[in-house]
Amino acid sequence: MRSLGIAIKKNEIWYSVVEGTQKETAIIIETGKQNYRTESDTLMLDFNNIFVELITKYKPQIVSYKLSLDIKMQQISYMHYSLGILNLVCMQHGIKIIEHSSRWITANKRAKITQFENYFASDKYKNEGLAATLLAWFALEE
Amino acid sequence: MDIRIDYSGNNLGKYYLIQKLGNGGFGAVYRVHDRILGVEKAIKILEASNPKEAYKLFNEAAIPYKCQHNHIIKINGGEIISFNGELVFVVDMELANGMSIENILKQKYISVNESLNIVRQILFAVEYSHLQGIIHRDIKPANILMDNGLPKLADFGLSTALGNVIKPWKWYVTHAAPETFVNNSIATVETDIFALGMTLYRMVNGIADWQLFLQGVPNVDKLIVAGKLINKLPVSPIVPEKVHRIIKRACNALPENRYHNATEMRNAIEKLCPFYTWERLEENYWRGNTFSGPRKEIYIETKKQSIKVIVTNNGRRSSIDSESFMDLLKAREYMFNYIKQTTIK
Repeated sequence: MRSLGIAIKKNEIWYSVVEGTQKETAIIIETGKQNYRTESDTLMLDFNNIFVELITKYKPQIVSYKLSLDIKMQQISYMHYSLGILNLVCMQHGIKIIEHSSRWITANKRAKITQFENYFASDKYKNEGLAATLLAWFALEE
Repeated sequence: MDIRIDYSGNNLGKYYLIQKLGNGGFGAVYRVHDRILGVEKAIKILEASNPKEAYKLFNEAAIPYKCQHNHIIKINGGEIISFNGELVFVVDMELANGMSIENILKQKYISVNESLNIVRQILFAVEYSHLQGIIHRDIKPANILMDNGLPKLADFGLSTALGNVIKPWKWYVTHAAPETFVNNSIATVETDIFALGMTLYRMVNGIADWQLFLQGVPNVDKLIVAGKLINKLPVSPIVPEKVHRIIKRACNALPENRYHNATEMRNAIEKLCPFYTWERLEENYWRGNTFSGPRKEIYIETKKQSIKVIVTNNGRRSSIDSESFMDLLKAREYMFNYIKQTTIK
């Protein structure tokens, strides 16, 4: 199975593609980011284009994304509306989609992060890059 | 059927030909009325005089059909129709309600930030077609159409599969990368990137007539073949260095030094922080709008004793930014530099 993890911050969409039949046999195919501009007149179309591109390129069976719950009013358009577009694109392409909150990632004294870093023997993943990869990795269990 | 003739006013199968829009690579494009669906469309008509060879034309419809994207003109279908006893192949397409970028450039100035925004969106389309294994091979302002304010890539008439061998000179020559001028050149992502760089150059520099413009460049043919044309072309004084760097990288003579895919080039454009979108009202009178700041105007005021460049913020004169000069050249230099400095942050 191939999963795509998505974590969004201002002007950057971080993504990670993980493949494996289960977490214990998984490999990271790619982790990266796509830039966008929050001030764009066509922001929602830009999100649509980016998500279509990622799905066309990596052909995931499942998409998992980070939902940030404690955001400010002015962040809603890119932190939340973008996820509505992601859900729509996944539905149109027949791809399963799941969400996890930012607290889910750091729950139990960052146990998932420790498990992730132990398995991949790497601490090079940080912030949104880490979140996207961890989400994609855990999505293999779904 | 002679595609050079204007057949407006005639019927072609279910289509009533309203207006000839132009000649594409190997056919004519018309605005038509589809008498069955009762809607206006665009069709491209290609001569199919030899029925045994007609299947070769099918790619005109089949290739862009594979590339259905928000920023690519949609293909509805293709069919062979008899017209006055001759066979033609018709590609049924979405009709864009705006002009091509080439025609817009002939009529008005497109600001640097608008140009970047248009090319940024076309890069989504180009990346998508590359992911489908299709190289467009004919990216130029004439093939970018505006539709309800959105740019769309059109005319896949020269497109080919990624990695196909192409005969030399079978490209849009002035946008062709130097590696395409040899025998057995290969259609690569980097060849489209090169053409995109040339397209962006023409847009940000506001070149209304490209062929006329090139006539003023000495040894232009040699420069094109060597991939050095971009280094010899003048740059408008209002184009920021960061923007020109993107163009130069996209048009680098060596494919390995260019952006390796359309996403990489788009990300470079997205990283620029657009500030003021400058509109040219008159030669020496510009207006700038932005999301986060006052509306600016800059103009040259000529009086007997002095020449002043006046800058206003929301209509109020800015004494910090306004300057006096002894000659017009210096004043224009200051004005253009001010526009350049405020175009991106």
